[in-house]
Amino acid sequence: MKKWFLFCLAIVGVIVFAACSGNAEEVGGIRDDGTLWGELSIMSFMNDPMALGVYFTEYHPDVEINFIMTGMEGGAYQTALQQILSAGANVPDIVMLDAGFVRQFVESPFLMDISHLLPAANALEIYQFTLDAGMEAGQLRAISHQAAPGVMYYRRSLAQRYFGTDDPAVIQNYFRDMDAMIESAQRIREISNGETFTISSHIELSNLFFANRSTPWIVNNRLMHDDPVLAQYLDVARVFRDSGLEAEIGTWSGEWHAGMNDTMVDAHGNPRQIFSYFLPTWGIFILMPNAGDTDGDWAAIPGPLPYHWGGAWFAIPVDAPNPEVAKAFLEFVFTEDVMTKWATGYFSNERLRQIDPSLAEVFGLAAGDFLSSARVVRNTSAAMVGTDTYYFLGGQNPHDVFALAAPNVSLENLQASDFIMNAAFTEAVTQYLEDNLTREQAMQSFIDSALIGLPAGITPN
Amino acid sequence: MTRAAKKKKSGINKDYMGYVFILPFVIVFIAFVLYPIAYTFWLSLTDTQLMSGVSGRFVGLDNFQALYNTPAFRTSITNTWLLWVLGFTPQIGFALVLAYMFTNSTLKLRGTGIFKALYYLPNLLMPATVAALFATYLTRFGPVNQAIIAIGLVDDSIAFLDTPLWARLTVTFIGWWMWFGQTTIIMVAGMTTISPALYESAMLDGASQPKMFWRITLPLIKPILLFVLVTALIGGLQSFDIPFLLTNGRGDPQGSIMTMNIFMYLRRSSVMGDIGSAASVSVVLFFMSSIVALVLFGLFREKDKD
Repeated sequence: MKKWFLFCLAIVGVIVFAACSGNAEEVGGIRDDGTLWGELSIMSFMNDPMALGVYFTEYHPDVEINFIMTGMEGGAYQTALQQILSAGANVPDIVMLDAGFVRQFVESPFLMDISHLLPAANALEIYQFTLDAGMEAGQLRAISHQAAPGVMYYRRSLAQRYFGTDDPAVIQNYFRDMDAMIESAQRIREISNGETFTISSHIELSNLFFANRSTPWIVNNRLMHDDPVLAQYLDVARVFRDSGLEAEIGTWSGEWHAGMNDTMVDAHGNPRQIFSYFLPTWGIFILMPNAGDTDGDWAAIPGPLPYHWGGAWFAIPVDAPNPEVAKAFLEFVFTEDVMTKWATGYFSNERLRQIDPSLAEVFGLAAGDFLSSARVVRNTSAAMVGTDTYYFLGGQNPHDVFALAAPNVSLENLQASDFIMNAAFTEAVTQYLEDNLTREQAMQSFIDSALIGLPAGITPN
Repeated sequence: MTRAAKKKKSGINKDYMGYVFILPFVIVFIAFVLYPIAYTFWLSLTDTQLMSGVSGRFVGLDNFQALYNTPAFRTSITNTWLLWVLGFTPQIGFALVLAYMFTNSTLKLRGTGIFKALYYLPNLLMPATVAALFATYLTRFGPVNQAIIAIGLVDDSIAFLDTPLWARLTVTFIGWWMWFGQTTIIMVAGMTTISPALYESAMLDGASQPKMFWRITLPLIKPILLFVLVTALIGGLQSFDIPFLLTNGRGDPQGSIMTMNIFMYLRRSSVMGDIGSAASVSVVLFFMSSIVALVLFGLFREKDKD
């Protein structure tokens, strides 16, 4: 029986040892003849990299893609990524980073310098703001294939009613800056007798103000709560609230979506309209499926202030098991050929299945993504004419508007803490507008809330 | 050693088989319970940050001192207790009354099985679904506001989830709504163990229904009450999902529904991923739960002696 006991212990020991010991074998690289081989593991919250990975294998058949998909709900993706990169075990070769947390990882010691991509980025005329988000200590640590400049989508029929025209150039003049926007919003309220709100809530404007702060949130361990742009945000939000220019409904709520198709009713059961939505490039894909009868009744303009919202960045962890193949993959993606094919819908599921017949139907890249390369955008913009998005905007080429907005966006002030600061400040503004707090109390509430997520030593004074 | 003694020793050795059988449990317990608890305690004494890329240093009780000096942490303790007391009080009250009605043979209620199932139903819903449901109902132009305006309760809509008082009431209502069915079922199980002879004797002596409830039912289900109280308390102190999902994930408005677990999550998901600090919140929560559970056990035991 003792032998039995020892045997069981030995089995358990072997299992534990096998579980704990890492695989030290080489998992891939570049052969002497220059061919690539091995597994390329990609951790992502979006499907795009898988489609590109499959296309990559057409040129490099000895590379196998291991695609690890994790949802972003409740911060699941970045939490998992933090654990993996800090533990240094099961590290993927490529990781995708969202705008909400790209700086958190770029500022960490976990990402490899991929500055060798800068010449390619320059040739592709990658929008500077997407590069700025990936730069740290003079190194490029993350690079984006997308650009997500924000624009103002508005309803053409409502513009005709309140301004006598739906011409984007003219409407842009009505919304050229915040003062003009307030004036135009008041005009909409007066003519519509309060039936049409210019925006859903102050939250629509939050990205505009945050993107145009004069300083980063943290400077020399000081929380910059007294930036004049933040004071302006509070002023403008107060005017919108007190004058009934906003619907007071939350982003992503049922009413917010209902406003897109004219089915919104207020708490008294009265029909109400929303004139405009502040959304970025990908916002058109939120509007389109919710538009209903308003399909084709939309247009887009740069709006009062340049801003951005979202986007995704590629990065290579320093502990990536197959860094050479990972680098080769990014060099492959950031070429004019691949990005042009991407922009024009070449990577359809049908095309990718020619390479990998077992590929699931969800993988494929439709035309219409606004990519980070100004050069590719310029060359492919004409292809957007006649697409669904073109007709959705009443015959306006969306890429022309996005290309107009993109060069004005700046992410120089973006820091790892932005996602915490922005959420805390937006909540403080809401409390101020609801008259639950005075302006001073709201600012103190913001500071208290913000400090929870900041490292020790950062003070508001 | 004689052959007989050897045989006897060999016979004793058979007991090792028992260790083999409990080995899987011990391994799982060590790996998934004991080690995480011990590691959490260790982390709470370090300044470990996930995003720093370096190992944390031993900092003694600095994390606990920092917690003590953080107003938001003190608020989170108040919130946790407040939300639990406000939610649990009606929950246990409803459960006791319903269970008494369901088990009382003199009332001769019909269809109690259906009601038990209906009351239990909310407990089967995922917290994410429940939070999304209430968040949708309680928007500015949502069905609740439309209803209370239509029946003339208020003139204008209420910003339920942007007002601290309403947000707290919503969380406590959800807690009650989700859990009173479950508590009722447990109470029913407890009350059915009471011998009907006791009630029959009491009735012969002329005892009223309330008197029987206070003098017979309640004292005899004390162990069940203790079980419900302790499990509900531990669950309540660990409250996270509903308050986290109902608003912006930061326990707002004004941190009014920020529980200790949400505070811990905010420390964990901070810019640097302060897991040392987050672990210290966890340790405080651990001691708080343990002490309260021990006090409850003690109180009930004292009364048993009486």
